[in-house]
Amino acid sequence: MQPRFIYYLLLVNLFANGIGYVPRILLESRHHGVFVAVALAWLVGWAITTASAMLFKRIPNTDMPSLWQSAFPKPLAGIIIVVFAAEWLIAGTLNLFLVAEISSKYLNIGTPGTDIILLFILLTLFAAHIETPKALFALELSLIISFPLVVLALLAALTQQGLLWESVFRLLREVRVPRWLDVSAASYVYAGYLNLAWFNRIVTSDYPIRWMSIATAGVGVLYMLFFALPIALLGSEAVALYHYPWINAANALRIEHAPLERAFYPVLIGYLNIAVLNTIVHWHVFLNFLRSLSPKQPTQRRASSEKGSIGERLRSAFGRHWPSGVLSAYAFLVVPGVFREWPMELIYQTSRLWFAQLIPAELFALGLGAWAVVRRDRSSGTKRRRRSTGA
Amino acid sequence: MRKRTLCSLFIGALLFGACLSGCAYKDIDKRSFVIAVGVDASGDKKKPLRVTLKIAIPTSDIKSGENRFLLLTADGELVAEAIHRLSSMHENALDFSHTKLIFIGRSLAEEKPLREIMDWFYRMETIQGIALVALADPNANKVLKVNPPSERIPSNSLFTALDGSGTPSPYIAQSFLFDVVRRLYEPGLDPYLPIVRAKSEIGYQIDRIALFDKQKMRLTLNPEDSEWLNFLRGETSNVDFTSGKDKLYFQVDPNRAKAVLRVAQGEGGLWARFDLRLYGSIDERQKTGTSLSRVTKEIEAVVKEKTERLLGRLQKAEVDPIGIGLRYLSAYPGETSYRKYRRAYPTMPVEVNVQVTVYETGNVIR
Repeated sequence: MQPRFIYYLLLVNLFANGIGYVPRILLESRHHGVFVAVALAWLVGWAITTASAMLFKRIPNTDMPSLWQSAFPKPLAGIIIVVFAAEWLIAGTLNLFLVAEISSKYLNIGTPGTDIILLFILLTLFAAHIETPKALFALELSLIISFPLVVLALLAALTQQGLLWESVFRLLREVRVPRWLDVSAASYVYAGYLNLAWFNRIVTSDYPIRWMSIATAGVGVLYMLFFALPIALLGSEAVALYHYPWINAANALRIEHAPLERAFYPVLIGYLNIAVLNTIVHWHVFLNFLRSLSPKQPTQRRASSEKGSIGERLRSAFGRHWPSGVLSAYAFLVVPGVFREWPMELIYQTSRLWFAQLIPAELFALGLGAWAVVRRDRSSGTKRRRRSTGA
Repeated sequence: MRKRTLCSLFIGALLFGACLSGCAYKDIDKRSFVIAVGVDASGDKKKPLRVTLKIAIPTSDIKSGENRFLLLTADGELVAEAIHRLSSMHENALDFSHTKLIFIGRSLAEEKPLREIMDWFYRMETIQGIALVALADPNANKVLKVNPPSERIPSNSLFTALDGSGTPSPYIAQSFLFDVVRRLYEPGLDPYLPIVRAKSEIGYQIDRIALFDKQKMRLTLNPEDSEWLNFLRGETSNVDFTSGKDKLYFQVDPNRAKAVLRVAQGEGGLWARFDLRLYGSIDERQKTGTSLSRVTKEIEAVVKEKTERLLGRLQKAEVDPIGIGLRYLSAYPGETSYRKYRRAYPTMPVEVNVQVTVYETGNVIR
């Protein structure tokens, strides 16, 4: 498939996280050099994206799990895959919590959050099971539908009267050594590219690497704007009063000569759509990481399942569908329970922990990928020779 | 096989959705839309707040002069408590998602910190950030009772007057809820509220501004100063004034008026400078003796005097609705510079440069 799908992955991640957890974490330490953190995260995000673009170009039409499996001994590859699958699972889940919470607080006022999260889980689970190419097409379609709503947020905010740019400049000039957590959290908005760890399997990598560099730089500019707007709208101090700074900033948007004076609801719906899409993408990656652990003999297994005894058929069904089972069990048993029992503050604390390990985890994954490529090339000298002659 | 799974999933989702509509979801005819909330001082020690809700009564066809509404009043110690009590006085669920006006009684604003009064309003998720906040004189209840005959929808005339979509009157300062909240917290930028005075049963006047510091109401401006403050803040350029000596009326061209503020730190401490550039026309002139260039000089003197007098009043009351402090802090951030600004503000020198061009005198040459 064409490389344009990479841009959608980038954008979905940018919007979902630029509005979700990241702003509050950054704004809490707004007097501790937060703009330095955003700038550093830009560099880090750019470097990681460029490095992984180089990596993915070396392994055309291969996903990370099969790369690891081909290069490392089976148990080691299994452990690595499970660890990173968990990363994707948690990323998606954190997003889902926020979607349910915001939706029950601002959109469906009075509806219990647990009901809402169950509905979203149903949708996400179903959508995560779609075949990978179809998932990408669906992503493209939904993003194109929701994208204008986010653009509306940006336009409405930029044309709003009485933006306090002085407040932004005030924070901009407070140059300090930033906190690790801020850099790591701010770098999350560039992480959309890493979904290629699975999607690289079908997205052709015949694009120049500089495209990716430019795209990430563009994402950075967009994110700077995204980060500065709540400060300009809500003021440099009052912005830290709120649980969800961007949602409250959207609540302050007013378009005077529009059919809808209040831009809040279109923007809210746009954000929720994109955040759900982000969860779907993450859970899709999780599911397929786990699936790659099952031994691959699909034709033989299907043949046996059609004949054999009940026990055999059950066993083969389990062999094929256990990742779905794991995801469903997690989604229906763990997620609503945690959402019900944990106050949002605790979920924020968890997200902080997760953000703090983000950059190391990304570097670790990249390192493992690079090492696997080296090992694979060394072990199969013939392959290497073929490539060098081919090039 | 796949199709069947799909179908069963879909049906499951539908059934689940059907279960949802049980407790939380209410139909629109079981909701009443509160369009304005007023908070007053009740005079009672135990229940010091009096909350008035203006509830719109929907009609099938909208006709001029047929706006029907309901006013509910209850006392309480807190705003939320009073509203809780009010919900037992009405048959429907109170819905605050269309609340566009928040009135604060003048006597309450004089005795209670603004942040404490506003807390409920910015804490509630349902209330719009773009709700209009205003001070009500003599009290919120009286202003909410005002029922102008030109109104088709309850309180609509106040929405259009206060949010600037209707009258271009330069006396009216717009203040949205999110703006009031950010000004309550932003160092070097203080809140202000327009004052809505109930003139009679059917009319009101909005031509004054109340100024607050981070705690309480400090100052009310007369109409002339209110207009000029709105101009200096950059909200309106549609200003005009009379120059007494020549008995002339100067109308500023709203598209070409500019007020530029500079704040910096010099050798003698903080200083601020306003550069005003006004283009305008003379709409009426009763004494026509002097030449145009001299009249221009006189207008410049009037503008300079107006500006200096207003700034002097603001500095004396230690309120900063223009954001001189914020401008300073954006150039010199930090806790120490905030303290420095707080100390210097009441006496800091403000230079006013005025340049006026009279480019239009109507049919008459001078």
